Amino acid sequence: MTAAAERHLVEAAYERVEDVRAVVEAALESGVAASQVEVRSPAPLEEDELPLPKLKSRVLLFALSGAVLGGLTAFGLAAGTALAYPLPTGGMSIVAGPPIGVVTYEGTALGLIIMTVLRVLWEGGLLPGRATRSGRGRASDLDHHVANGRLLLRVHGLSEEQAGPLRDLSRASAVEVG
Amino acid sequence: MTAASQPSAAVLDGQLLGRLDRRRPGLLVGSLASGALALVFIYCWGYQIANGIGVTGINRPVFWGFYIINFVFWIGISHAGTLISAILRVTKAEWRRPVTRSAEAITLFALAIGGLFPLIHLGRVAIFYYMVPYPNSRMLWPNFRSPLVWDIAAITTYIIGSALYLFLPLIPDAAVMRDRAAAGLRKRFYAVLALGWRGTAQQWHSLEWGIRILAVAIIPVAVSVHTIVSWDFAMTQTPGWKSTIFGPYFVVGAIFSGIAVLMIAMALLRRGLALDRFLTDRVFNNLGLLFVTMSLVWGYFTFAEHLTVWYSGDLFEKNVHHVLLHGDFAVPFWTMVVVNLVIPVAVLSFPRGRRPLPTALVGCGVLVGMWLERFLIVVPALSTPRLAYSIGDYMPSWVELGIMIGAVGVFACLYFTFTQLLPIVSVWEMREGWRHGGSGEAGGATSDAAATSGTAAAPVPGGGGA
Repeated sequence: MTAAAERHLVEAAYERVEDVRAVVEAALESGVAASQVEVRSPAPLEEDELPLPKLKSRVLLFALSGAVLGGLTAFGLAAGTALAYPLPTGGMSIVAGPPIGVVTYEGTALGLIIMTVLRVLWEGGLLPGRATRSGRGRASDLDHHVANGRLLLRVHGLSEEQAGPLRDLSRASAVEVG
Repeated sequence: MTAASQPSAAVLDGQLLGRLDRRRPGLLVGSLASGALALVFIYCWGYQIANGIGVTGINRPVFWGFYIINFVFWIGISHAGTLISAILRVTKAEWRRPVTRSAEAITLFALAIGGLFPLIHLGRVAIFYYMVPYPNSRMLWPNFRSPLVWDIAAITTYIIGSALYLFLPLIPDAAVMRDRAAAGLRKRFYAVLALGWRGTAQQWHSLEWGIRILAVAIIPVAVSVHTIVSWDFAMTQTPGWKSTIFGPYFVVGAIFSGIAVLMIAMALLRRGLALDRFLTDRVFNNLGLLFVTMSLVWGYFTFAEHLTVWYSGDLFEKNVHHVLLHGDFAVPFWTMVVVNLVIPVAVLSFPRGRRPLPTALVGCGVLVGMWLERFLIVVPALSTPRLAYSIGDYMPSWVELGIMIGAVGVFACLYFTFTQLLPIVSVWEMREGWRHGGSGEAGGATSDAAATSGTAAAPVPGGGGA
């Protein structure tokens, strides 16, 4: 984060979600965009607890894509092997359904699982080299509060006029203001 | 428990995370003792590799001995995590929260050990890679028609899935450990595991999606794994193995033995780490009910299996049946029935029996019983073949015994180490349950009380108050 951006970052740790909500509402009223607001919590929050837009996730889509990809790969491996190395089967089909079905089933599950985890890590900015946008996800001196069960509110990219009142409001209810 | 006696978040942190900050002599002794047993495992396997598979008691006609018995046994134990964790997550059972991490760890470690046994059984373990399909100069790929190759596919999927299913919910807790640890090796270790987790809304949102999908996906994988293991037997023409219900029978037995290990592990953790507030009597009661249900289901399958064999009148099948019920294997058979069915039903049917100590003792008996069940599936069938002149017996060698006992040491060592390094009770899931007033255990009632009194406790994730 640049020095200029740091000047306009307000961050504070809170005990109660209501206090965070009050500061977030004040920030949004002062013209701060929802994308500038970041709330870190020690456990998942309900979507309606804070006045922020609903989050989107494409984990399910990627999971299903992984399932299709894994299934096709496994099918190709098993069926391709049967064709490339045909065994005498006494009149039975070379590409036998049940065994290929078993391998395809496992491949489908494996593809789904791997893609699910990769997508979760990607969306959360947890993959190595995945840049975090506008300071989100960066370490903070106040992170230890989250580890100890508090909430951490960070509002990025504020002007001087916006930062001052927010900082004052935070001081009234926060455990610590950064 | 009254609201007044409920712990705050500070107590949660203190009781749960504080366990990891200071050394526990019991855990250290457990790690050392199990580590010594693990050395027995390594020595015996090394001895077998150096001297060949002839050092075992495996011989014609009993080609599958302790190694395959233990393979099936450990794969069965690995079902603890999938049932307890995944099914309880999918059904949103609140009392799962203190249990899931322990169950998932059991799954991973049991699976890793179970997966080793076919390699040990190979003898020439160095050429295991012949089973892997890759372009090679042998002009031969694995035969996908063989259930043994299905095993590889299924177990590979299951072990990767189980590892990721354990790892994903562990990330937030690793971040908690990272942010609490003093600078040094421990902090770096947790930082690597946490992958830069900060607890942002997007991270939680994606994580919840991921866990939900994995929980649903891992259940059919677990079922398929033990079904396929059963097909290693059922797809043959061997009397005693050719059974259409072997798949579900194996799955039921696997879940049963998985719960047994979980009951033992939880009782030990509760006592060793003083986790009474998290692993409450209610958790043991609920698991005990599940345990006795699985005992009855297992009894039903066992009865159905043996009744149909007895009623068929098939000579070869009845030979195997006879040695099981009345012949050389009658003692282990009836021991199995007693410890798997009679004792669990007698003890767990009553609330007093569903407390930590009784459930753990019943669990120990069930583990013995389920190992005997695997033994009774493998050995009597092979030692009583269709051709009378090839009848033989089987006596395990000290190498096989050493590897079997050592495997328990490897498992315990892995589990103790895990418990020393990482929260064995999921911290964030406990906090989440507390917030929603539904974890039922350490914090549920607090949240309820806070909600009714209008205080601020309920909205505080984890309760604050460091």
